[in-house]
Amino acid sequence: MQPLLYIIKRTLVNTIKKIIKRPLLLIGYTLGILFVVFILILSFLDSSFNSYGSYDLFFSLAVTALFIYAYFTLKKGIDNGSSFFRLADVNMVFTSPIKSNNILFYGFLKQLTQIFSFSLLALMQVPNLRRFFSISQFGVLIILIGFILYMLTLPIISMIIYSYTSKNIKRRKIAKIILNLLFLAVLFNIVFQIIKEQTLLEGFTMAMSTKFISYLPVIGWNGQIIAYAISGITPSFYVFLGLSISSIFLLILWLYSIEKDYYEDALVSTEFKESVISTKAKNGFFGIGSLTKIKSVSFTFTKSGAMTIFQRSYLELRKTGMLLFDKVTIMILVFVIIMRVVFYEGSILFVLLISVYILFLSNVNGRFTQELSKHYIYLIPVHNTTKLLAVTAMANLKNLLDGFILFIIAGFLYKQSIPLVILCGFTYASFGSIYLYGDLLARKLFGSFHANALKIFFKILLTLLILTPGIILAVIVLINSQSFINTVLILLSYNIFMTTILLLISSTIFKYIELG
Amino acid sequence: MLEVTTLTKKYGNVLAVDSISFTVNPGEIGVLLGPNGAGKSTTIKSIAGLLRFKGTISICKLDNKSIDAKKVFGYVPETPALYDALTVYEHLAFIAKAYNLDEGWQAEADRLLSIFDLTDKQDKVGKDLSKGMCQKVSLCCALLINPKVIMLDEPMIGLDPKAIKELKKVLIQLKEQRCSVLISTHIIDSIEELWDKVLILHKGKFAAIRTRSEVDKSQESIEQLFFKVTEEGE
Repeated sequence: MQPLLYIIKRTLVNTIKKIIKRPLLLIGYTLGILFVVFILILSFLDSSFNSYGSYDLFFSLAVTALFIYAYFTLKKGIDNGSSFFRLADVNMVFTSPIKSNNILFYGFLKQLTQIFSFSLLALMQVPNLRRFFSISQFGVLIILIGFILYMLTLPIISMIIYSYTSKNIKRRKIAKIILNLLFLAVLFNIVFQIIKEQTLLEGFTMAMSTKFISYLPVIGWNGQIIAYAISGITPSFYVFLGLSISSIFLLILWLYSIEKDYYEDALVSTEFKESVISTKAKNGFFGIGSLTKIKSVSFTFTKSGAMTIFQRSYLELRKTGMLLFDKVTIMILVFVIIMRVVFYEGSILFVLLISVYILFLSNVNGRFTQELSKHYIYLIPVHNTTKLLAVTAMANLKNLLDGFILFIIAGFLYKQSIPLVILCGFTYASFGSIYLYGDLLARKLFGSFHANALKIFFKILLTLLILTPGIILAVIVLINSQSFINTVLILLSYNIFMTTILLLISSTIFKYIELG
Repeated sequence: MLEVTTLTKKYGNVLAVDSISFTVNPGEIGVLLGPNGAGKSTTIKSIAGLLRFKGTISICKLDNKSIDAKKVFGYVPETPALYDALTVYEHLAFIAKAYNLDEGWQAEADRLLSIFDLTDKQDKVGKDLSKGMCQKVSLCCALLINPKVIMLDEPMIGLDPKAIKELKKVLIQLKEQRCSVLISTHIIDSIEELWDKVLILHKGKFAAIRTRSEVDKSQESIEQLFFKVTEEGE
């Protein structure tokens, strides 16, 4: 175990050393941590939050989220397994004379550190949760514990399933059918209860907060742990905590007993994981991933110059089937419908706020990485601003189309006037433009940062800085005029003004930025 | 000595390697050749103990997945993946610990770093290294354990001419030290002066296994042999 602990120790020491050596990096991380702490403190100090969600509803939502996550993780697990390892581990650790159970434990420790850092980012969503539920002071910690335990358990289950099903295709098919049936049963139960109760919210809560689900291993237990964030800690919390922790140990023992030779399973899933990581690094989180099916499309380039860039983007979107609706649009739409139907919440302005927030999160990793990592864009003999417009045209157009579809639905749900719906559609697209060109500006300013997390943090700060004046102006107009149309009009005008400035500043990116 | 006996590997219904057997004796350099999809990577990963397979693979008469076999086995993978936050020297320190090397490994580490021009790069972390440098570190890690059997998958790719020259010298030294060497490559010219035995895989089976004297007698180059046996019946 000592050599493996050496890797973890040195990785940690070298990372800290690197941060200390670079004062800017140290300031960045400190600011980042302070920012998260500040958001958390602020959300608990502000008592104006309208926390009306019940314990049962919170539990039901938590368990539903866990079910959905489990479904996709296990489905992926059946196909590709799951891995705690990176390629360096496969090449150096798997081939070394270290016992395979020690290697498994090492992988587990690595996973723990990764999940912990991911959890810190998830903490930024706490204020949103506090908006609907009265989360106790230790609630955040409780949610974190439940979340981490769950995130540790699922990969082990995935590996166990994979080691049973990877031997032949028939087993794999059966496993997928069982998984689909299980989740269809859950869905059927929800629909059945909704019909029976005649109300969506109560039916959903009735279906998902039953005793059976509460005592369901892993999903139910971790759901219970998370739900103690509302009810506060009682002795039964420790029972579920104990059950969850022991299940992890038992699952590890099971994995080890059925398959001491897990290297092949880990190798397959590690290679898959590496390809996903490299795709994300190249294309951004919402880029064309290795799992995206690429359709065959017949297409002829009819334009020349910068327009070919636009045509290529159009062709790519057609091939990946992301021309109109992608996962971001669907996510926003589902959220809006849930807000309206389940919580009876908000107005069209609220929808605008939420949708541009989700659009922002989906743009955090940038949509330009793919374009900038290839040399073609730098070589095309066209003026830089034209090039930038051509590169971003498809994204802007897509945001506009998404915006219109979204706000036509929202307008219908909230019974709003057509001019307001149109304005909201344009404003949604204008926020998209600010994120796009803001991303390029951030690349110009922070391109030299090595740490990706820090780059993202500064990008968030920069975007907030760009947007804040417009939002302040809009709030002033809203308070004074009480008119949604005036408010949205101000936001739109400000965004167009800022987009023009950002476009001019960032157009030189194709001239000066270094490839790669 | 590396002994592979009736190695068979299936992925689902696809037979990647079909009952192949071969030996690389001590002091011998074997070269594994084959077109894309011939089963080279599967063979290599099986020997490295990364895959489940049918048949037996022994390293110095020990099961290749045993701890004792791994102690004397060096492996240079095709994709040199390093730990992002570990320095070059720390990679070697990790290998020394993992393989429980004797005190004094540092001298050997310094020698290897010097051979591959990494002495001034030893404090650089994995993330900051070029692909060629990663390959050099990967080579140093495999060589540090003083292996009795070493397997190198496309070892020359990414290396500068000096490093290729040094690697060839090291391989000859290993041969002199009675180490069994197996090299997998597509660049036949790069191993021309090194090899003792050529193993040509085609569609999961050996299309030819020849010693250097056999090839010399036939007055064919291995390139000619390669095309002859892989294009037969195509």
